[in-house]
Amino acid sequence: MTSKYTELLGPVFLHWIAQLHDKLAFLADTKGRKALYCTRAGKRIEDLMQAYASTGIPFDSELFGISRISACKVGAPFPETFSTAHRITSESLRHVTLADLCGAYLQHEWDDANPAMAALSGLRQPYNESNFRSLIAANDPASVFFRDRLIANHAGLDRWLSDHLHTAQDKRDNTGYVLVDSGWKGSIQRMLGEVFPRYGFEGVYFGVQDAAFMPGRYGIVFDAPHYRSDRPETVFTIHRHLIETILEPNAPSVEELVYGPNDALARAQLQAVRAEIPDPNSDALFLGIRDYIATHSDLSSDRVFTEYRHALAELVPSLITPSREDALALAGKNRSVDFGRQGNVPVLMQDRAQDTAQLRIQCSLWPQGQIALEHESKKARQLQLQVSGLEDSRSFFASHEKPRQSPRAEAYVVGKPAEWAGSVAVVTRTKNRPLLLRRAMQSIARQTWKNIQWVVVNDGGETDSVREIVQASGIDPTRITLIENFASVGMEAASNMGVRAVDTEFVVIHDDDDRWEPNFLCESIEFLQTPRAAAADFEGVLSRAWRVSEQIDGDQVTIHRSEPYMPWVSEVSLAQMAVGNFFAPISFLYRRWVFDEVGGYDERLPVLGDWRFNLDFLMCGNIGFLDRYLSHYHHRDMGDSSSDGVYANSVVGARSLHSQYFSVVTNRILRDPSTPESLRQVISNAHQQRVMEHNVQTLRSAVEQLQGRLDHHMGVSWNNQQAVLKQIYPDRETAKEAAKLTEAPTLLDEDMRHIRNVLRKKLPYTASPRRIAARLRWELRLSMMNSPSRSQTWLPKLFHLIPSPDHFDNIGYLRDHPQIWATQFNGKGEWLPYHHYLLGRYQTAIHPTHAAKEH
Amino acid sequence: MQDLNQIGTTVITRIGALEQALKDAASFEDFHASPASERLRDAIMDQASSAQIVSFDIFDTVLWRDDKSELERFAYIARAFTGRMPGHDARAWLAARIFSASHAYQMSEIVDGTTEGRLSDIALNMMHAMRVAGDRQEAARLWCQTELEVETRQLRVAPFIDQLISQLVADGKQVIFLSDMYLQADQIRQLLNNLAFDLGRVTRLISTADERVNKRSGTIFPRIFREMDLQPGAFLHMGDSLTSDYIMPIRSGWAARYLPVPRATLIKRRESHFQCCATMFGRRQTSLPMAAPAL
Repeated sequence: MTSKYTELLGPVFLHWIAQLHDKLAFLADTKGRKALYCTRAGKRIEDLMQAYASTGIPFDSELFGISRISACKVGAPFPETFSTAHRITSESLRHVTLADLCGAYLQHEWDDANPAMAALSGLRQPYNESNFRSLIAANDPASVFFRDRLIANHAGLDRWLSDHLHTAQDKRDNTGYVLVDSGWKGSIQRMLGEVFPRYGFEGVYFGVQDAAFMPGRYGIVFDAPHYRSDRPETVFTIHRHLIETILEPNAPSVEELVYGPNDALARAQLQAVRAEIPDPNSDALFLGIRDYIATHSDLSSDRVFTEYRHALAELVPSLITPSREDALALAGKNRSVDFGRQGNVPVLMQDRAQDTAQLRIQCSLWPQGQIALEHESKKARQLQLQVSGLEDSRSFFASHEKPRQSPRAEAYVVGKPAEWAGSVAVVTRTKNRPLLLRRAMQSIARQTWKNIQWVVVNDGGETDSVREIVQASGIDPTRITLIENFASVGMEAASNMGVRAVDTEFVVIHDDDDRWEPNFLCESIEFLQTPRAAAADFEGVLSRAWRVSEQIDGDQVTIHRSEPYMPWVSEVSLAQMAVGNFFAPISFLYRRWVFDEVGGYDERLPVLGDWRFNLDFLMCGNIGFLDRYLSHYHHRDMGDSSSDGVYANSVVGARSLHSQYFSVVTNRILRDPSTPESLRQVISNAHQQRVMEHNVQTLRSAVEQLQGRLDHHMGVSWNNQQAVLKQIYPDRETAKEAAKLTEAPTLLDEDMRHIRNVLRKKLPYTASPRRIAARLRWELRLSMMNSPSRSQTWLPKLFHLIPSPDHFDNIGYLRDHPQIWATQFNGKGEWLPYHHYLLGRYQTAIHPTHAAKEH
Repeated sequence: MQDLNQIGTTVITRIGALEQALKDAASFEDFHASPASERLRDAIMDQASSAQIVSFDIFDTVLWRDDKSELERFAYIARAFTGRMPGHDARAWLAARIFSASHAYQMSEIVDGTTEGRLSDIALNMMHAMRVAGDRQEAARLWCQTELEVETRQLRVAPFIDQLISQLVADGKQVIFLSDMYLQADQIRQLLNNLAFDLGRVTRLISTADERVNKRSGTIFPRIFREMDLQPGAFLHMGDSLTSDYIMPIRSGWAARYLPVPRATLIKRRESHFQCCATMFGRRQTSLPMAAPAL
C-alpha cells in the first residue's frame, strides 16, 4: 500500500525539492540570502534536501527553532508589529480569555506561585484585539511582567539572528534570510519581516494558500487559495494535511527561543527536533519519499518535471474522490496542536457513539477522505465532488441548465470569426464635452475585459479635441472607430450609427458623461455566458448603478453626492418597464442580435428612445439582473450646468420633453397595427399603475410632512436643554442646581468605602496627635468630596495610598480610554487607571468591573 | 495612417488602420513591401515632428525575430551548448533554462515595485540546477556566449526602422533604445554590433535587466524623462507590445506608436512552441512556466 503512494508522492516531492534547491541557490547568489529551515517541518525538509544534494549545496542553511507562537512573542510587545501578532494568534486562539492567552504564551514557564502570573490567570476578559492591546499597554505589575517576558524573547531572537548570519560553517557573505517551510500563509515570515526588516525575510514553501498577496513569499508546487480543476497542482489545497503530516517530525513544537528567557528549554526542544527518528509505520510515507528522492536525485530537470506531472495527474483523484484505501493510506498521522496547546487531532475522525456521519465529515481535517469511510462508493463520490466545489448541490434542481442559445441567437453566430465571441461594441456619443469624454475614455481604458470595439460618435461637435482624446486613450488603436457627423443626427441615430459601425457579439452604450467600474464588462459578459443565463433566455443584463450628483465649473468637475440609483430594482419585467424606464444605458449590456431584430433605436424620438428600445427588447428576450454596483450614472443637477448647455443631462435638462414624449411613445405603440396584443395590454395596465403610484406618492408626501411637524414639537435638542431648564426652573438658583444634573457624577458609594478602608489602614488612629489630625482632616475632606472640583483637588494627594480594588477592570478601562495610555495614569509610578476613573473623567456611572464588561 | 470612409456629412475613421494592416500582413517583409509602409513612415514622421526624443523597443521592432518561438530558440541554444559541455542532453538544458528564467523573474530584486531577470543570473542558476562540476561561473559565461551566438543567427535588422532612425537623426532627433529584456545593455550592444547595426546613431541604450524597472509596469518612463530633464511630451516611443510599448508610455504622458508583430508570424511562433513541447516533452500542451506566444 505504501509503495503505491510513494510512487505517486515521490515525484511530487522530488520536483519540489529540486525547485527549492534552485530557488535557494538563486536567492543566495543574487541577494545573499541564508536559508533557515523552520521547525518543525524544516527538519524533514532539510533531510530531503540532503537526500537530493548531499554535497555541493550552493547556499548556506541552518535549522531554525521557531514556531508561530514564538514569532508572535517577539512581535506582540511593540505597537507597530502588534496587529500582525494578534492576527496570527487569533487564528489559533478563539473564544478564550486573556488568562488563556497568557497561559499559552508563557506555557513553558508557568508558575502559579508567581504573583504576576497568578494575577494574569485572573484576567477573565475575552481575548480580542482591544483587550490584548490594553494588556500590552498596561503598567500594572502583572502586565509589565508579561510584556517584559515578550521583550526578552525579542532580544533573544535578535541576538540569534545577528549571530547566525555568518557562522563558521557558512561559505558566503550572507546579508539576509529566507525561510523554508511547508506553507501556507507565511505567517512567521510576515511576523519576522515586520520585526526585523533589516534581514529582508523571504519565504519559500511547498505551497501558498492565501488570497492576499505578500511580496517575497513563494509557493513552489502551488500558490492558490483553493482548488482549480485546470491547475491540478492546486489539489493540495484540499488536503494539505497530507504534506504536513509527512513533514512533521516526532517531536513537539519549538515554542521557546534560543537566547530568550527560556534558553535551556529552547535548546532542548530544538535538539529534540533535530534528533527525531521517523517511525517506520506512521512515517512510512516520509521514509519512502526520502528514499525515492535519494535514488532519483540524478534525474535531469526535464525528467523530474515530466514524472511530476504524470504523478500529479494520478494523485488528483486520490485526494478529491479517494477510495477507502486511499483515505486510510493518505490520511497520515494525527496532527499535533501547537500554539501553547496540548494534544493532537486525527485527520480522519474515529467512529464515536454520539457522533453522526455528517458531524464526522464536518469535523474531519480531510472531508473527502472522511466521506470515503462513511459512505459506499457511488454516494461517496457525489458528496466528495460537492465538498470539493466541483459539483453544485443546486445541480440536482438545475438539470435544465444546459448551455444553449435561442435559435435566433444560434443562427446569428454562424460564420463569425473566433474573436467575435465575447467581443463588445462600446458606443460613446459625444458633442462638445471633452472634459467628460476624457473621463469616459479612462473608464473604458481601465476595463479588464479587452475584447472591445470602442466607437466614438461625435454628433456635430468640435472635432480636434475628440481626436486628441481618442488617439491618446491608450486603448489598442485597432479597436477604435471614430464617427464624425458634421451635422448632428440626434441621440438615437448616433447610437444606431455607432452600433452598426462594428460587428460584435455584445453591445453597450457608454455615454460620455457616465463611467464604469473596471470589471463592468467582465462581470456582465460572464453573467450572460453562464448556462443559467442561457436557460433563462437572458439576452441582456442589467447591473446596479450609483446616481452621482455633480457640478461643472469651467474645467472642474465637483462630485457632490453618490447614492444608489433605483435600489428597489431586482429584476427586469416587461410590466414594470411599461410603467416607465428604470435604468440607464450605462448599466445595460446586451446581445447584438436583439438590436438587429428590433431595428435599433427609434430615431424619431428626441428623448425616451432607450425606453422604447427596452420595451421592444423585452418582447424579444429577457434581461437578467446582476446584483452588483458596477456603474456610475452622472447627473449635472446642481449649479449652472444642470439645466441647459452642453453639460445638461437629457433627463435633467430636458425634463419637460420627457413628460411630453411619454404619451407620444405609448400612443405610437398602441396605434401601430403590428404591436402584439400582449404589449398593448401591458402598456394599458401600466397607465393604471402609474395613476396608483402617483396617488401613493402623494399620500406618502403628506404623511412625511405630518411626521416632520410632530417630531419638531416632540423633540428637544441638546441646544434647547438650557431653554427647557429655564422654563421649568424660572429662578436662577434652582436652574443652577438642575444644571448640575448634567455634570459628571460624584464618587460612587463603593469607591468611597474603598478609599475610607485604605485610609483606615494607612492612617490609623494612634496616640500621635499629628496622625489623628491628618486622619480627621482626610475624613472631613472625603465627606465633602461630592463635588467634582473638590475631588479633583484632593484626591490626587491620596493616590499614592489608594490601590485599584480587586474587582476593578484595569484592562477594560485602558481599552476604553486609550487616551490615558501615554499619561501618568498608566505610568510606572503611583498613578493608576483607577485614579483616572476616580477623578470623574468617565462617561458612565457604571463601575467597570470584570464581571460587568461583555467586550 | 487612418482608414477614412466618408458618407455624406459623416466621416468614419478606423483609428488603428495601419496597425491593423501590420497585424494582418503575412510577414514583416510583406507589409513593408506594400504602400502601407510608406503611409506608416509618414505617420511616424508626423508624430515625431513634435518630439525631441524618439525611443524604440529593440526586439521585434529594431531587430526582427524569425518565426521560431522563444521555446524553440532556447532548444537551439540548448543543443548548441551540449556540444560545448557534454554530460547532459539538450532537453535537460532546455528545462533548466525555462525554470531558471522563472526563478529570475519571480525572485529578482524588486525596484519601484517591479522586477526583471538577468541572463547572467539565469545562467548561473542553470549550472546549480544541473549540478555542474567545476567552475559554475565560467560555465554560466559559456552559456551566455552560446545564447548570444544563436540569437545573432536568428535576428535581422528591420530595414524600415533602420532607415527611419537615419531620417530621424538627420532631422535632429535623439534616438534611444528601451528594452524589457533579460539581456543587459552590453549584451544587446554586442548583438547589434554582430548584426552590423550602426549604433553611433543611438545616444542611449537602456535594458531593464540593468535598471530593474521596466516598460510593462510603466516604471521606467518617468525615470527616463527625469534623468534626461525633459517633459514627457518630448518623447515618442514605439514598439510591438501593446502594453509595454503603447499603453504604458501613454499613461506616463509620452506619445506612442504601436507596431504589432504580424498575426501570421505569431501563429507560426505559437505552432513552433507547441511543436517544441511535443518534441521535447512528449505533449503539445505541456504545462511549463513559459507560456505559448499570445495572439
